[in-house]
Amino acid sequence: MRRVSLLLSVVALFVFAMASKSWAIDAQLSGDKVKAGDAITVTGTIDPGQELFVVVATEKMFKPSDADGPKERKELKGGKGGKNAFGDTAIPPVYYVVTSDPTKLATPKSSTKGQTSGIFAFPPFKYEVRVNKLKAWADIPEETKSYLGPIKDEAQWKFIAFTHENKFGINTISKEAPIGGGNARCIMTDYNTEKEAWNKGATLSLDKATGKFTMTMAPYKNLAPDTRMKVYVNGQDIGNFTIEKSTYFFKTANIYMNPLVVFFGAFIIGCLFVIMGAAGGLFTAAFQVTVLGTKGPIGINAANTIKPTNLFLTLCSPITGLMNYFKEKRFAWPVAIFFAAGIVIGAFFLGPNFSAKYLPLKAYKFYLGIICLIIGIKLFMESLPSSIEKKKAMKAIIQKFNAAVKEAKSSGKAMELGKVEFEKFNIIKFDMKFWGETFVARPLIMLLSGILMGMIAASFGVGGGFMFMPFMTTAMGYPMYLAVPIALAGTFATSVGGIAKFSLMGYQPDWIMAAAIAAGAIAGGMVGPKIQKHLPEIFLKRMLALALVIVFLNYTDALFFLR
Amino acid sequence: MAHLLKIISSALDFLYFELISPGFVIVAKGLDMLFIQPLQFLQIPPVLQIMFVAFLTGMLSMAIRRLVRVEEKEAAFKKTFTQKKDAQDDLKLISDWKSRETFAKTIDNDIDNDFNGYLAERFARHGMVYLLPIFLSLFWLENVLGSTILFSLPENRFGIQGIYPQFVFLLTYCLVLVIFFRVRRRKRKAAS
Repeated sequence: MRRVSLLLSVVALFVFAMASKSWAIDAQLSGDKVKAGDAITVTGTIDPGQELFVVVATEKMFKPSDADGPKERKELKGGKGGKNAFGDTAIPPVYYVVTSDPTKLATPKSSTKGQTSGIFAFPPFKYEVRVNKLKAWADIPEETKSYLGPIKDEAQWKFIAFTHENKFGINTISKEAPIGGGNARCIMTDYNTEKEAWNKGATLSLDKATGKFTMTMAPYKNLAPDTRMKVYVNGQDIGNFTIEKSTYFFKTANIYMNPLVVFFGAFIIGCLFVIMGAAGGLFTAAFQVTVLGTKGPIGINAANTIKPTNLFLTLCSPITGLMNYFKEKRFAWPVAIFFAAGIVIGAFFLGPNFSAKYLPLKAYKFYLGIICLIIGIKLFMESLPSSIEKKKAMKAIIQKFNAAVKEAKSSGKAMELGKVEFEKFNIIKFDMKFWGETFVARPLIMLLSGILMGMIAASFGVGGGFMFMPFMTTAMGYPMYLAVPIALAGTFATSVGGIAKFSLMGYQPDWIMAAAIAAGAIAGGMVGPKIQKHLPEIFLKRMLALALVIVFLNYTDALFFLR
Repeated sequence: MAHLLKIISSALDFLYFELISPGFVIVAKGLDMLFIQPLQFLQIPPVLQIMFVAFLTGMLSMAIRRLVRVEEKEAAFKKTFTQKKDAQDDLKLISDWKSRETFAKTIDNDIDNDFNGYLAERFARHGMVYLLPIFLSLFWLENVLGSTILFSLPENRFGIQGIYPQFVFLLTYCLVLVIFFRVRRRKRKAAS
């Protein structure tokens, strides 16, 4: 009886050990602290003959209800059009599997990415790219499923696929840059064995005869300081490590960057702003997307951090000019009030809502690219000799008007001239006299156009001057001296409306980043006019136009090597 | 190239972490000890703490405004501008039209350059006076009080979650500025 029970105990122990697959695993991490962006190495031994599955994932799990962004929370919980609803499913926001047998979990294939629907769904905006497509849960062998660490069921696996293959999921949760415009890294193997883009930086060696292995990979470079990462080898938890900061960490922007780099970058933006004379908001938006790579906190789409930060930055320019125009009585109020009211409505009630829901980073970048192209073309046109002559003539007219304002002010005629005169107010159309000239005021058109343009400008987190001026001078036929103050009131209204709404929705700017950008732009704005005189204007404008076209090609993924 | 970037990055890190950041930390701790801790000790609600910080930021903006001499610089520019404009009027006395036009063009370009410089400087001055104090105060406030909702609102179709500290701060800050300018205007009127 004693022998039988001893034998049974040995058999039970063997079965338990085999079932848990843990008795033969012996692994160590290269350290318990890893600098953000640096690699971690795992060495050890597994059962001879077995395949290796190393999972590196964040210890803290994320579920849709943890998302701070109301729009993101709603979309992640309930899905879009009945698709991609994840309810209360919890996953590690950062999750990698480095394996000797990636075919068990994913299949390399060509996938259609970019603009897959909508009016721009054609090449080069719609393109084919090689991705490592995650397999369906049902197609993964049962044994492999037990090697996936914190991922235990189909709902979690689907959520993981969403955070690595869907741009909204990537930019809201995993935050890692999609490779070649495709998917974010998830299932990897040794780069020397399989030379695919997603395996870059990953090395893995496994001696199947002895089970000895070494695996090295670098987790996402912008993981917040003190993030705890867990490592599993063939399903067994073998330890954890903590992320150490690599340089200054912008908490809300969720990136590592030395603030001085931000300052110097913004300094160049400030100089460009002086040369361009407009589109400062667009430049700072592109600067945040491209140079800084603002990601936003986990659970908030990157675009919803960029936009409020940018709206704050666009606030400064109108403040400075607006007060003077008020003092100088240069507001044609029957036009300005309706336009500004429309913009506030559009920027407060429509823009941020529309933007948070329909303009996640992927769409935001794409349309920002289109705007960059338009401004690039405009800039090139401005660099043509005929345009420069025209601009000079225009400047002369403005100067004459400014002189007239001054003279009128000094002689006490300003009150008289700046008075708006009209016989009968009509919401559709009426004639008004302003500064000695007769104009046609169309309040309703101004209101409706204001709503539309306010919505667009707040959606993109820019002032909107690039739309207001052509609208007023070309579509409405107003002269510059009438249009400039109204456009400035418009950009002010966009900033105020947009900021108020974004802040009530819980989308916060990164204050220290905004401060660094503002400081740099201020310094650039001061130095710009001094160096501008010594720079060839035509050459500069053309170079800027070229840069904007490159930004367009980059943001729209039109060139494969820029994706 | 990578090596060069590493050297630049190390130099910038040294500049920021060894020289700039300690200054910020000392100022932040000092402000915390001076203003926030006494208010917390007195169990003043966070809304009032934020309003108080906004009031101080408004005062700081006004102090910087005085320091960078915004009004004096505006007045100085206007004076130069008027002088140059007057000089342009004097050109009428030159009988030769060619010389008159050449002089006019030169003065015109000069005024143009002055005006561009003035606009850029004004942007910079206002940025220093208003934007930087707002950003730095809000960053400090975010670190001290966090960015949790002060008053939550029920779920609504506008997506408004509630009142956040930054909203209270900005509202109070604007109010402080409006009151300051109104009081000053009244005082000036009374004086004149």
